[in-house]
Formats: sequence, structure tokens, C-alpha cells
Amino acid sequence: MASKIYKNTLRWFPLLLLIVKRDFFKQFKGSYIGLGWMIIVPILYLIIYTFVFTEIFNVRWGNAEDVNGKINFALFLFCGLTIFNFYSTIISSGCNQLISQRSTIIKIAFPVIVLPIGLTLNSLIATIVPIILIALLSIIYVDGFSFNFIYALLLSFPMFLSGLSIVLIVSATSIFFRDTIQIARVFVTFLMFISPVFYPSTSIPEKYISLFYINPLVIPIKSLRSIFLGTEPPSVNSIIIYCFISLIFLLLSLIYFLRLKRGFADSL
Amino acid sequence: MSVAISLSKIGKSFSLSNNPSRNYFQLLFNLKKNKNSEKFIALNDITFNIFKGEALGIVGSNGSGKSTLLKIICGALEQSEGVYQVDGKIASLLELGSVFNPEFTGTENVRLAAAIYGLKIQTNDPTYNKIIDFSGLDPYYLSMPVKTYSSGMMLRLAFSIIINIKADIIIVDEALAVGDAYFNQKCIDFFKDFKKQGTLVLVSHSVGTIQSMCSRVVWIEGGSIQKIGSPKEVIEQYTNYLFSVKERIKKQRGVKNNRPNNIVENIDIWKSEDNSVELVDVSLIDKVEKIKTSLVSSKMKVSLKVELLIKSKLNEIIVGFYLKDKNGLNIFGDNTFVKYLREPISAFAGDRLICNFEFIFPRMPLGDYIISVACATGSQLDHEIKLWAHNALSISNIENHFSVGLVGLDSLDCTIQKVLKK
Repeated sequence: MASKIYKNTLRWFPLLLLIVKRDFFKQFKGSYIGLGWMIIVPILYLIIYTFVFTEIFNVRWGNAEDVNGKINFALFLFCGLTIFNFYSTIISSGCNQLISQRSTIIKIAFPVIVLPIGLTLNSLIATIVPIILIALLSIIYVDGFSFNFIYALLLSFPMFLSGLSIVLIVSATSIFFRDTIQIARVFVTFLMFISPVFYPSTSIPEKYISLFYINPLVIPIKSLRSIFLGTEPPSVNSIIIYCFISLIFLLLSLIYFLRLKRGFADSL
Repeated sequence: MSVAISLSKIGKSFSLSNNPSRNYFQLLFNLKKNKNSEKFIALNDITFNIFKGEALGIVGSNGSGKSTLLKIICGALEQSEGVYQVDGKIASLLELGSVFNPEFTGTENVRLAAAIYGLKIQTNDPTYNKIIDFSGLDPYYLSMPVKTYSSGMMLRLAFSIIINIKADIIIVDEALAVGDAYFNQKCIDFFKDFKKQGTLVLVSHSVGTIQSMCSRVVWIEGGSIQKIGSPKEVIEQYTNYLFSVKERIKKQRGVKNNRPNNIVENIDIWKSEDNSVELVDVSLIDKVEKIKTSLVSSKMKVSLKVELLIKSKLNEIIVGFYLKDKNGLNIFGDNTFVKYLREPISAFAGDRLICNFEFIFPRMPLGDYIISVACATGSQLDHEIKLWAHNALSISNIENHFSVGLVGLDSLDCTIQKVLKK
């Protein structure tokens, strides 16, 4: 059984790579700036959010008026947004993903699971540039280079696991219940406010703290902030626990996906 | 002979309730299917083997379940009942071009499509070159997005991929007419060659193609197998079924026919306002075998029987027919005018006219032809049409004889004289 899975995985690996590549370049096909958008978009976001939150809402974080305070706040915000963007893309694209590949799925026998995996990998790739941007700003304005940056790489693993679980569940469910698409839209907005994107995780009231950690965004956001903004390294323990929980979650969602998979062609 | 695909009691039913959530819970909790729910049975108890190195044709009218069966064999659709086994790699032309992404170039799409079939190819692989060669596409287009392709180019490329991915079994669903005549010929040549080592499953409405390509034919109707056997045998029964009106009405609609006889129900009949003539029956009879037939071949002696019921008194009746090809071009026809010029036929209400046109079927290209039947009063030049049945009968010319153009030649002799150089 295990060897069969291994053999199959090996066989479909080239397909996965091609699908990741295709979906990656699809975003930029036909545009003038092409790949440049990968860099321009995060920078634009960074500027917009920093401006709105520091100049208009007049939010203060850290030590008040100086430039460093503003940069710190921008970094703080951007760490949260990067993680949030990863999960929000996964949820909203995940809903449509299998439905949009209808003609392929109902006519060809191929491992449908490469599609969710491809989506997750691409969403992960999309976080690379923002993270590099954060790292650069952090080197210049915060503490200079620190070996703690390596943890950001480590973090991508549990994020992939939890992200993939979400895509598996959302994409399979939306085939049977198209309502998922509408629910997901609302849920993404809800997620933005229950995650510590615009506020530090310390501002959560004590009585909600255990509920708060159910949210898969909390640990990545917290860790990212302590990697690039804090002085102390992120809590490795919490990342490991997070990995572990994501893995269990992934296994459950795999079972869920594979069970429903038999009905995809009938229901699409 | 070893078996390439073995099907055992394959059944497929679709729920008519159109309620995906029920399906969802059944799949998720492995529930038994609700027996009482309304179902559409697409396939029922399909059992047969496809042998290695054989070319099997599948025929059946629209909606008979052919494509569903192919999708199950390919593994895209799961059967509701039964088991099947496949020995070898399947490539199927069910999905011509459906994997292509319009924004990407031809080359990128070729690689992706091949990868979906589990084949990793680079642009310098011999397989890649073979695909491009076969498709006959200009290398310039390969670096252009597929959305700029004509539909013919896209199909040619898809076709070339499917047949070059080293499959053991190729499934073709009504896709042989993908390109221009030159490309079609190339495909047919390929299949003839492929049959030597691979297995071919061919679904087509063109009985001529099936006849010339396949060694065995399965006829599926209403989701179950009607007949398996040699092409001639099965196709004859199938076409008889298709065009014999009696059976069609009985089987598909289950409606009792209260008309005087087995009148054609689904044909396009034009009648004059006085409704003075009714078409009772049209059939083609093989003069030698003395049976109704819908398959003809060159030099076959046939008789076209047209039976009419007269509703009100008519004078100077002319009955005629036309034979048209599938493009609607009139090929030949005849009528009773000249024969009864001296003593024209008159008839009263309630009379039946049984007309027979006996002729030798000319040498013509393979394919399907349509016979129109008409009844008029008057003369050849000045007449009033009373009834015109545009597609009264459909027949297929199955004789496998090479023919160029519209009319076959009854060649008397053909020689080459060689004059040697002095």
C-alpha cells in the first residue's frame, strides 16, 4: 500500500510541477509588467496600509512619532497581512478550483488531488516576495540580520499543511454545495477580524484566549512578528505543536476529500 | 487472445432528484444508495471483453449510453454496479482539447496534456517531435497561445498528443472527422497501423467508418447490449432498428400507434391543406433476399416501396422519390409520371396505393443517404404537391469500394500502354 502510494506520487510529481508552473504563470499571462507584479503588488499594499493606518487612523505602536515607529507599525501590519492573504486566497480560490476544472475532471482519469496541492504551493510562493520585503525592512530599520529569519522558512511547512487541508475541504464541499462559495466570502472577512492582523495578539481578552488559538492564522502571525520585529526567537514549541495539529487536520481532510472524490464526476 | 478490457455487469444510474447533498452524505458516510429514489439507468448489465489487438466498434443511437460506458472505462466516471479490469494504458479521445488552457502556448499545452497522462516530455524528446510532426502545425504557432488557434488546429494538436503517448488502448469517440481530408487520412492510416499492436475502441455514428475499421461491433441501446458480433451482422440490425419506425416507437416511447399502419412519426412531412394523402409506409427491400433493409451496396437490386392512403378523390396521381446525400444534394430520383402517362391513376377516399420503384443501386461513395418521397397530382411540368416526406427513409451505403467524387464509375477496362524509347 505504502509503496503503491509512493510510486503513484512519483509518477504524478511531474504533473504537479507543471500545474504549479502553469497556475503561477497564468496570473501574469498577457499583462505588460508580467512577473514584476509579484514585487509591485506587495509594495503597493505596504504603502497603502501604512499610510491609512498611521496617517489617517493615526494608530501608534511602539514608540510614537519617529520614522522607526512608522516602519515598525508597517512591518507589524504587513506580517499579519501576508499570512492573512495566504489563507484568504486559499479559501476563496479553493472554492472555485475544482468547479473551474470541470471539463478535465469529468473526462479524464487523473489524480485530481494535484489541483489542490498546486493551489496551496502557489499561494505559498506568493508569500515569498512579501516575506523578503519584510526581511529587508527588518534588516534596515529594526535589528539588522538575525539567524532567527530561518524560522520563517520553518513556518512554511505547517502553513502548507493547514492550507492544503483547507483547500481539500473547501474545494470538495463546494462541488456538492455551491453555497460554500458565498459562505466562504463572508468567512474570509470574518477571519480578517478574528485574526491578529490589525492588532497584537496580546490585546485578546483572557477569557477568549483558548478559542483564539483555534484559528490557524494566529501562530504564523505571532511567529512572523517575533522573527522580524521582536528580539526573542519565536516559540519553537508552539510551531512544533502547530505542525502536529496541522498534520492531523490534513489527514482528516484527506480522508474527507478522497471519500467525496468518487462523486466528483457525477456531481460536477 | 488475452483480454485488454474486461467488463462484468457494469451498471450506471444517475439520480434524477438532482439533489447533490444526498449524494454528498452517501459518499461521506458510505451509505447505501436509496433504492426508492428515482433514477435514470444509463447503463445496465454491460458484460463483454475487449481483446488485445482488436478494433472494437460501439454503435448506438444518441443517448444510448456509449459515452457513459467509455467514461467508465477511462476511469473518469465511477460505475454504480459491476467491475471492470483494464490491462494497459488507456488514452482517450473523449476529451479532445478539453485540457488545453487557451492562454498558454502550444508547446506548454502539449507538455501539460502529456503530463496528465503520466508522461514527462521535454521539447527535445522524440515523442514531442512526433506529436508536432503528426499535427502538421507550423512551428511558429507552437509558441503562440492556443487561443489564437483555429478549432481545427486545436483538435489536430490534441489528436496528435493522444495517439503519441504510447498508450496500449486508444478510445475514440466520434472524433475521426477532426481535420481536413489530408489529416483524416493520416489518422485512419495511423489507426490501421496501430491495430497491429494496440487495442482500438471506436465509437461512431458513421457506420461506414465502423465497417471499414473494426473487426467486431457492440450495439448498445437504451443502456444495454443489443448485439455483439461481426460488423456486417450488427450494423445491419442496428441500422434496421434505427430506421424501422415500428420498433422505435415501441421501444422508446411505449406508445401505441393508432394510425392505420406503421407510419413514420418523426419524419418531416409537408402536406397540402386538403390533407388528401397520408403516408403509410416507406421501405427499401432487397430484391434478392426479399427482406427490408437499410444497408445497400453497389449493383444491389432493390425495390423502394411507398404505401399511401388516399383521403379524398384524386386524379392524375404521380408518386416519386429522391435520394439525397448527407449534404442534401439530390443524387437521383424517379417518378411514376412517364409510366402512367397514357392512363393516369385516379383514386378514391380509402384507397391504398402501393408503389414500387425497382432499380439497381448505383456505384456511390460510402455513407448515409436520405430518401424523400412525394405524391402530387398533375403532370411533370404542371403539378400540385399533395405530400412531401423529406426524410422518409435513411439508408447507408456500406460497400467498401474506392470511389472518387459523387458517382462511382462502372469501368469497362483500364490499361497502360508502354511505348519504349527508341
